[in-house]
Amino acid sequence: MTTAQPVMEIKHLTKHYATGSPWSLRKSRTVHAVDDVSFQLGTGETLGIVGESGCGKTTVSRVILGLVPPTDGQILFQGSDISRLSRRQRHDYRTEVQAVFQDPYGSLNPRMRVSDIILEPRTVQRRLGRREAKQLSGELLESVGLPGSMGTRFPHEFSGGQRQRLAIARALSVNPSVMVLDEPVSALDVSIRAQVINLLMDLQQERGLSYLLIAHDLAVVAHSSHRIGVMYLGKLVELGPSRDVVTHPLHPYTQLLLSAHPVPNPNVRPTPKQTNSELPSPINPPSGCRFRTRCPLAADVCAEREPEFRELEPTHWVACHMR
Amino acid sequence: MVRLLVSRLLQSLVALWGVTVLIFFVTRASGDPALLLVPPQATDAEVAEVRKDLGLDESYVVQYAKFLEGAVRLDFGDSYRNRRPAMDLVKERMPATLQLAVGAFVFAIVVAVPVGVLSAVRQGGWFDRFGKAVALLGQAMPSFWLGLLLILFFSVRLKWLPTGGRDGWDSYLLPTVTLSSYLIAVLVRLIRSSMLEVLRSEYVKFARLRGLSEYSVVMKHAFKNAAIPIVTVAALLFAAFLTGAVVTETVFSWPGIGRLAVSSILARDFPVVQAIVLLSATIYITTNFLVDLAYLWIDPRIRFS
Amino acid sequence: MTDVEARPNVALEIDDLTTVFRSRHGVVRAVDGVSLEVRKGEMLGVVGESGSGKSMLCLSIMRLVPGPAGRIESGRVRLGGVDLLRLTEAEMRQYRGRRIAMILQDPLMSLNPVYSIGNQINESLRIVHPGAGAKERVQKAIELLRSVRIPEPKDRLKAFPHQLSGGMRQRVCAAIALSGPPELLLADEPTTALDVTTQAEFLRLLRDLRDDLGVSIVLVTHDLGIVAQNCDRVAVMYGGRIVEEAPVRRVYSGPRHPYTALLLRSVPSLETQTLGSRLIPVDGTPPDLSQLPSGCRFAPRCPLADARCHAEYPPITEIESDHHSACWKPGEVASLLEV
Ligand SMILES: Nc1ncnc2c1ncn2[C@@H]1O[C@H](COP(=O)(O)OP(=O)(O)OP(=O)(O)O)[C@@H](O)[C@H]1O
Ligand SMILES: Nc1ncnc2c1ncn2[C@@H]1O[C@H](COP(=O)(O)OP(=O)(O)OP(=O)(O)O)[C@@H](O)[C@H]1O
Ligand SMILES: [Mg+2]
Ligand SMILES: [Mg+2]
Repeated sequence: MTTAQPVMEIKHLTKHYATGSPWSLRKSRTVHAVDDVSFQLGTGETLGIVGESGCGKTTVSRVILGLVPPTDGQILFQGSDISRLSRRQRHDYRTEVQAVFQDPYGSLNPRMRVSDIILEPRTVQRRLGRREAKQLSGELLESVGLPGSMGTRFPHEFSGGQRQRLAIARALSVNPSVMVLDEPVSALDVSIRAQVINLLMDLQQERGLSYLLIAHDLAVVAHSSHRIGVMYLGKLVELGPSRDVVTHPLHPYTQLLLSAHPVPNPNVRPTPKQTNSELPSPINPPSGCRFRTRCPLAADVCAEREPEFRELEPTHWVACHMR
Repeated sequence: MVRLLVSRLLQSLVALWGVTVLIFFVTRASGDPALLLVPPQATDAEVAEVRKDLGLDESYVVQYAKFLEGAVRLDFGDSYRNRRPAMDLVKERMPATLQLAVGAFVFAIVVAVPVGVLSAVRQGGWFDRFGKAVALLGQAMPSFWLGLLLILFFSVRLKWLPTGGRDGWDSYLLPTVTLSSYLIAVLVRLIRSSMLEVLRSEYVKFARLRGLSEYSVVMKHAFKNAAIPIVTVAALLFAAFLTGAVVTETVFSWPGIGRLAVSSILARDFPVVQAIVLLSATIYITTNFLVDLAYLWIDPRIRFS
Repeated sequence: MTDVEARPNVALEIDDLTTVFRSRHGVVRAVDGVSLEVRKGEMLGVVGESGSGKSMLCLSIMRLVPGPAGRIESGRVRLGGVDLLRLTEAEMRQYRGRRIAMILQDPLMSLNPVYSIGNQINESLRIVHPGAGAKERVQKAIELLRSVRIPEPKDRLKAFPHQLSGGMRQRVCAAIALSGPPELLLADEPTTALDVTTQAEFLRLLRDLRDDLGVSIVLVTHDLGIVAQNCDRVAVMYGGRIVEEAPVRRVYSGPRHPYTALLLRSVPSLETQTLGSRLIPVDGTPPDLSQLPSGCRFAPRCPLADARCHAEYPPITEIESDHHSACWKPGEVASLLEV
């Protein structure tokens, strides 16, 4: 892996949303969707992000893609702050950083031909001639393992896995350097999931792409990422090389996550860790360490101070008082 | 969201100001109004006299300032033709146009919503075929022709309704139907296709799965979403009605803005034309603003962004 | 309407159900002669690859196959002795949401974007608890959201779908489906948007419903781990048919259909020695449901296939007690797992 030079740097990213009706004048409550998250994405690296539902993973990716503005913090792409880009640079940024989302059905326009769909980001840049378009769409389809002749079909004629390949082909059409993958394989069956992950890994080898891979399937993340970041309630709580995070997780939440992975063997029952009935919420996050309300190790200090995110082992970071 | 509203309001004002600039210069550029007011054999001195009267001898900047000041007070000067304030002429015509426009719009909605919705729900059935025919006919048939047909049948043949003019409730029927026919056709087609798309959505499927009544599935869950792409079109067509339905007014000798506009343009009666253009622009811009408000109300994704 | 005596321990009996789609490429047999029973108070796992007809099977039971292209061609679906396929639409509506509920597969689009989730839950509660007052329904809605572990449920009732994360939306849909609770729940991949801890909590909720209230559950999933940990029996679908059906332990210890075996082999694990290695897909492409081969549908991809497999379709038979398989060579399947 090549983490030598980060292609992307996220610094103290914070995103808050207001709740409550926008018509009312009463002060509304705030959802702390992401709070002070920092990490780097190396060139040619896959950084996997896992975490509880609602912990802010999608929000991080939406901010990186420029779909919503951050409340605070910076995103540096190749060293420059994306909120300060000129119109031209912003345009370049939009092509350099591409996205693939969870929903392969919703993200493809049902009334467009596949070749038009996958060349869409490309034609935004420049109109393509008929011949050129045909050749390019053929090449793109083949690069994701589909017959090049399928360009004349419509999305509903493809299966779930094939549609997700189309989404990947579309993202590849502008030769990005970074791909933000928000649950790209959640809707796919194991076999197709394997095909798509293998495809992504091959493309990374060929083109030196960097991936931010958000996924729930720990096995998928562990197999395809160089490093794994674990989020909990808007915070990054652990970050380290995949193997280290999976084999000796440092944060109690990561341990909980690993223990909950369903094993495909009915004779091995994971010991269910009973969780506290009180539910921590991003509207009103617990003081100090946000995981303390569910943490088996929690002590007084955890409620008083927020744990510092520190490098406990080389390249293995964790935010926990008890380590 | 308050910010959004304020910025939209400012945008509207800027657009309106742009319109005044445009009206002012376009009318100046299209010829010297003084020449129209004097008899053809008038001497240069007489022309200069008239120009002075109208304030046309001053610089453009001063002229524009005066024009703008007048426009704010809704004073566009006197009509060249009958020497009365232009705005008074427009105001006289307003009620007739308003009644016709609102009547036609309401009638169109009342007809088009059920027809469009039912066509979509009964896709492929005989009612759908009826709906498609309505859409096709309404868009293909020119309104002067429809108007004449209606007059021939109901007024000449059956002698039930007057052929034109505006007195008595029965004089409203034919112009309203004629004017609304195009809007009905457009709306039926749009509502049908928009409903078809929404009816295929997952949330409509889920609504059915939950055991909701068909009425609630169609009218509560599908229709509100289907309305989103239609609001703009409907509102802009309504604005077009308000600024004059020339053909319908002409066919039924309806004393509305449309006919006033045409006769004023033909007579180069600039004060009246300016008043009408500015009025139309205001109506369009206001409509656009109201459409934005409507979207805020319908679509929470916009409201909360 | 009661055409046959309901069998006491069976909640749902599906008999020779066929659902087809007319498409440009011919007739697609999405569900092709499926017979299956769901027993009272059991959780039945349905697994199978993408496009094998799992969702269409569920939608056929609910009689909501997307028309006009799709329709149920034949078969019987009996709930408590009543054949659902012979009910009128109005009668069927009385079953939906009340006695049979379903969670749709697409978690991001199942909620209406223009109504708050409180509004949508309330609407369902009116149907399943017609006697409850407005206050009671709000209380119940809050309880439901809490049961699927959505924090600050009272605040969230006012939220619109786009203000919730993907996993939250999926859980709201589940909460609505469970609001009855129904006798029979069809859960079509209900945890795809959930992380493993939230998923575990949700599956525990389903198990509790099964154990405490006797709700029968059909759990459609891609995740063989989930099936292993939660289901009583499992049915494996391939190309619109059920190819294997047995108690969970049997299938995992000794699959009797090659597709099941290959599926088991392709599950990625967290075991350290394999980390970073490539994942193993099942080779080949899924069958084209509009041009099905005359023989076994899995034969083109099956390492064990011979001439007979390509020529003749193996009927599903009970090869051991309670273990059904549609394969000519069930005995050789075990060899596939040794690779
Ligand atoms: N547009 C929005 N308005 C208000 N709150 C929002 C909005 N988008 C997200 N949130 C809130 O921000 C928090 C984080 O949401 P996010 O979608 O980032 O979670 P996630 O980690 O992607 O979860 P999941 O795994 O379930 O997809 C949630 O509490 C959510 O309700
Ligand atoms: N509208 C349609 N027109 C034609 N064929 C369709 C249509 N909808 C579904 N099908 C076909 O029906 C078959 C079964 O689809 P179904 O959605 O039940 O698969 P599934 O097993 O649920 O797959 P997944 O795991 O991807 O959800 C598929 O092969 C699909 O191509
Ligand atoms: Mg998400
Ligand atoms: Mg499905």
